[in-house]
Amino acid sequence: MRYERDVFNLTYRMLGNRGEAEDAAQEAFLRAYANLDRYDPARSFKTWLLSIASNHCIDRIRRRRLTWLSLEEPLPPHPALTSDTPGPEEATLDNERSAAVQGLLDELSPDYRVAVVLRYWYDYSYAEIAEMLGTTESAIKSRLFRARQALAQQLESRPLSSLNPALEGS
Amino acid sequence: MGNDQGNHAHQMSESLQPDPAEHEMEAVRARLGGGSAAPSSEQRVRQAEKVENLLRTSPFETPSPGFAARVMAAVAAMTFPHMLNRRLSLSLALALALAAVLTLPLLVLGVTTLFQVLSDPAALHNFATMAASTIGSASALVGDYVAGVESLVNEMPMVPALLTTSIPLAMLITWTVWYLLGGPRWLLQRLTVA
Repeated sequence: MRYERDVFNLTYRMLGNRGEAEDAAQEAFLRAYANLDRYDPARSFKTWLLSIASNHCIDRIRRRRLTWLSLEEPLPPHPALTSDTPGPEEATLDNERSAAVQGLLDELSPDYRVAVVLRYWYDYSYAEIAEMLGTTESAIKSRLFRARQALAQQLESRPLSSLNPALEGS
Repeated sequence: MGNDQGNHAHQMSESLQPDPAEHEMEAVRARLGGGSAAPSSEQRVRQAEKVENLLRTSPFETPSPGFAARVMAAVAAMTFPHMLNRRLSLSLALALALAAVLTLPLLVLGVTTLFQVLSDPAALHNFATMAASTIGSASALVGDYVAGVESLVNEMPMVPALLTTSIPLAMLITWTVWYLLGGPRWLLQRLTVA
């Protein structure tokens, strides 16, 4: 399937849990299918699909906040432990780094998080992100600026050894 | 006298508290603005660069094996009747909302007209005449139509037989062509790797 990786990466970065991310990605595909008549062929299909996935993830996070957490329910496993790609040391490092980055992202509010993900993983412009999320370009600039500040503060406050290889490159 | 006692208690309390830790002092200095903990603009730029680099180098996550097949199965399970049901339920909801909005004015209009007709004998007479003539015309029309059909069946029995077969067949063919070429398959084609 052409867009499975794109949609899954977005939902995973937004939700931080592989199982929930797969559910959300599947729901995004189904919603796209059910609303095909609303798709404007002048726009990119991928952008339209990611916009559906983004809004669905934001809804999920907001609903999740309203749900009481049961104490008997086990906590979701750490993302690095649930990866299905066993392999060499490099892959393990990638997984650790990815999980550490995920930890940082999880601290952001959903509106900030989606802007960061669309900007840094998909290279969308401010205008494109604004269109996808139904907001203004200046709002996106502001969200990204604040998100970067928040991430920098978190990075400062918690030393993450797995991030070192990435940071040394800067 | 009471004030002296209060000062004494305050001094005792202060002497019992330990000195603030070094990190607490750092925080206080940073808060006051001149301390070493306050990040300079250069540090801020470096931190921002670190964040940018970290985000840009983070890998794309991939779903578990079999994910694509599960999604395709779920999409395929969303059959035409399911889509139709969704649209029908939406249309039904809209129709009910519209009916709810229109009911009251129509009811008022109907009751007013009825009251006017019943209270005026001439209008009542006109209404009865009009109703009788309408019913008469309608029954004559139906009678003509039935007679026409009867004569057609008697004269050319093949025509109605062909019509009753060809009309449903044409509808079935049209629907099949639409179903095979239309919306339900379109997304599958877009999602499948060419």
